Amino acid sequence: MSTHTLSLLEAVREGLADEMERDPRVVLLGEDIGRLGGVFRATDGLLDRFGAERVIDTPMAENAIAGIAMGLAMRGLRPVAEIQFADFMHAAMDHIVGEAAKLRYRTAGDWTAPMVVRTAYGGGFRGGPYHSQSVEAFYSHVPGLKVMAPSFPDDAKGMLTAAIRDPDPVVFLEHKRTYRAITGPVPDGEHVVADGRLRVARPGDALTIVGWGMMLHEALAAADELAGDGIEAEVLDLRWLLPIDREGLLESLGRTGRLLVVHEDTLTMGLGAELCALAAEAGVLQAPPARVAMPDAGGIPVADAMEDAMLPNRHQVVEAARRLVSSPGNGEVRPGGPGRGSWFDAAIPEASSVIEVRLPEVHLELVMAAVAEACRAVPQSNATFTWEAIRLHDQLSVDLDLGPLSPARGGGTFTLVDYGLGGSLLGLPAVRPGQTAALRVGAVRDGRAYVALAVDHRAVDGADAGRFLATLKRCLEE
Amino acid sequence: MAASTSTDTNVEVLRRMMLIRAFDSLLPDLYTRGLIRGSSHAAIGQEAVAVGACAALAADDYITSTHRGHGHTIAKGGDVNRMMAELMGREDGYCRGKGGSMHIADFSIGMLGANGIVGGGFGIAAGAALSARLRKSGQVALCFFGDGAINQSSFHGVANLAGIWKLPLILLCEDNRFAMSGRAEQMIAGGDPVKRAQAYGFPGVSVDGMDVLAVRAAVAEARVRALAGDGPTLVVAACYRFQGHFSGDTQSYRSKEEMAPWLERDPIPAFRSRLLAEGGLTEAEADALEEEVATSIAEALEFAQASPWPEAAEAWEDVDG
Repeated sequence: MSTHTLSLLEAVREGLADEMERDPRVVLLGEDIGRLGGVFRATDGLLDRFGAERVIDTPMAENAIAGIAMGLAMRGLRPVAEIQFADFMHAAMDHIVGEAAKLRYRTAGDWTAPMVVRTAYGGGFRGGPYHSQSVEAFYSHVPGLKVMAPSFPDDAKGMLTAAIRDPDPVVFLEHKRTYRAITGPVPDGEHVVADGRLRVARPGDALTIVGWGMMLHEALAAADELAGDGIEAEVLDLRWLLPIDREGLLESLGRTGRLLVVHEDTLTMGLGAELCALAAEAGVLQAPPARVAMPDAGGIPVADAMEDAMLPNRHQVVEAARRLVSSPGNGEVRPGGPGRGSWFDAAIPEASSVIEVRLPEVHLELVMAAVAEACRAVPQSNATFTWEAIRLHDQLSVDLDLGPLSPARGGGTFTLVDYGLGGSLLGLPAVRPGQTAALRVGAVRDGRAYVALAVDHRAVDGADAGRFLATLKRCLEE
Repeated sequence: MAASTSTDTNVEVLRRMMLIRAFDSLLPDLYTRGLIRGSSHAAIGQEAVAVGACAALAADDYITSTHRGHGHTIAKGGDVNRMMAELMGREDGYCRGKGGSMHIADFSIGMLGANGIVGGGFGIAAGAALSARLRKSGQVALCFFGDGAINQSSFHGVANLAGIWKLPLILLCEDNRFAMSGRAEQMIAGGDPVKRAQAYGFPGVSVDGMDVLAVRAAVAEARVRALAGDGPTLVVAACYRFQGHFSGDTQSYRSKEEMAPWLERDPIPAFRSRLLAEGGLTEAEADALEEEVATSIAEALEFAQASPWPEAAEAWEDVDG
């Protein structure tokens, strides 16, 4: 099969243009899509090619755009509406969720709304709270819709073509960062991807990582890094967010038994929850599933450090994957992982706090001393929790985890994790059974590092954790 | 700050217009140099609307702003240092680096927020107006919005409510002729947007948005009506966006010939000449004003660049109560 190379954005444009050539019923509508060619240039040149009756510039009225698309669809056309930013789509939700999604069902199958609503979503380019949101969970909750989120140019074209031909409404999510960052081969000629199946972006057997959009590419980068440690992750490009390819997911999990979901949408009630539930219900998991997602905050900050800290990234995926393959599983010890059966207890209610400190690159002794001081200031962080009492330890015995080559031994009264300069900037440690706290030092950059403290919330409360970190910071920086 | 902070004087009106022009003129360069975080929108050419409208308001009256909001903040008496710091995503910014240009808010001066959503301010302004009535506070709320937003359903929902409840609300449409690339004459049904007021049973007033005193007079009249319990007014100020919608806009949707007559009517030189002619200002004072504004802006740049970056961990602050 011969191919040509396109960016994801170009693939969207080609998909629109090719289908407009083939099918005169296809019309585009949206804000600034005509003369301007769209803010991201997805429709660049299409007005000249197809004319103003098929490439329609609309007023700023997202709800009307969605409603009109539905009316067009109900009466024989194949509209593709563009909502400029996913953040603006909340205003259109009424017609998408309240009307279009329900049409087939409420007319007992007599009518359908074969419409596509395309939108640009996602952060990572300093867009701030009004131009960075991911909206997949909102729409994936709606029976009657299909939700697609391609991660590669060939899928962008093939799935968009399928979306236009679909008899029901489709929300088509295009991650802004993939528009120009992701290029790849696209089959020449007519290209339709309508199978509704997920895509195995990288085969593996140690664990299954599921992502889509830009996070899929972060997952792939993480898988490369994990492969260096001998951990072969299977990376699944979910791409059909509604309906989910349950069979494809369970097939992979049947082999790996371990699930890690990565999404840029916020954690709570996100798609990760649904994927974990599907896996849990099917009984295919050998260890508790894990999620890496945007924290539950009211927006995505504009300032570099804050946005970077919030956006899920490959380092967090690597971290979570390592933890997942190290977890003991259902009584089984897996080859390849550290596999010491008792060091991870999912039942410990953990809370984590992070602080930034000045730190030299060589710092282990300094950190050990500071941990000792902080444990003296907050004795319940060097303790064992039991339901009867919190037992404080007289002595501090630090169990050091210096990475896969020198992992924690599983003893001690406190765990200190430090993967050195090759580790991630910010990772959260796990509290080990029998302990109440663990500290992780991130990689030092420009003389600074993030230090994360995880505590057993039954023994150490938030204020104590704050005191611990404040003491630690003072000791380190003095 | 040496100058008066009250817009009672025409000189202060001119100074604020000049300050907006100087502030927004920096945006392309700052953007190119990678100093601004997120997109920002310049209100160059529209200064008379922002300053004229706010000059007619009391210090504790409310405004809601738009994505093109720096001018509104300056006109209401906001702090250019904190605004510049926010544009650069710094710790001393209005939102401590969490928002950027489209999130500037300063409740201490009644500035209830810029807004990245076209039409996002209508409900907020109407709610603030209703609160003023319920609290019997004697305040009014003024909602700035563009000719693009007047087509959002949120305009119509709020205009109707404001009409039936006779809210102390001023709907100020900055008709700069473009909703991004969409031309007002192609996007607004019924021609002149001011006619929409009639449908909701309150007055619609057209005003020359390039004439700052005309805008001030129109809003002052609307404010009197609002405080008298006679309800809202739609003020449509005809103006023109001299620059692109955002830094990097190719502006393929308009011609130089079309822009020329508007550029000739630049509100700032026009008002300056008028004050000089009427004796309210001397050449020397005008030059000193220029200099003072340039200094303010230079200080704002210095302030913003000296402001630290927010710590990454601050991203987790203010998540919940």
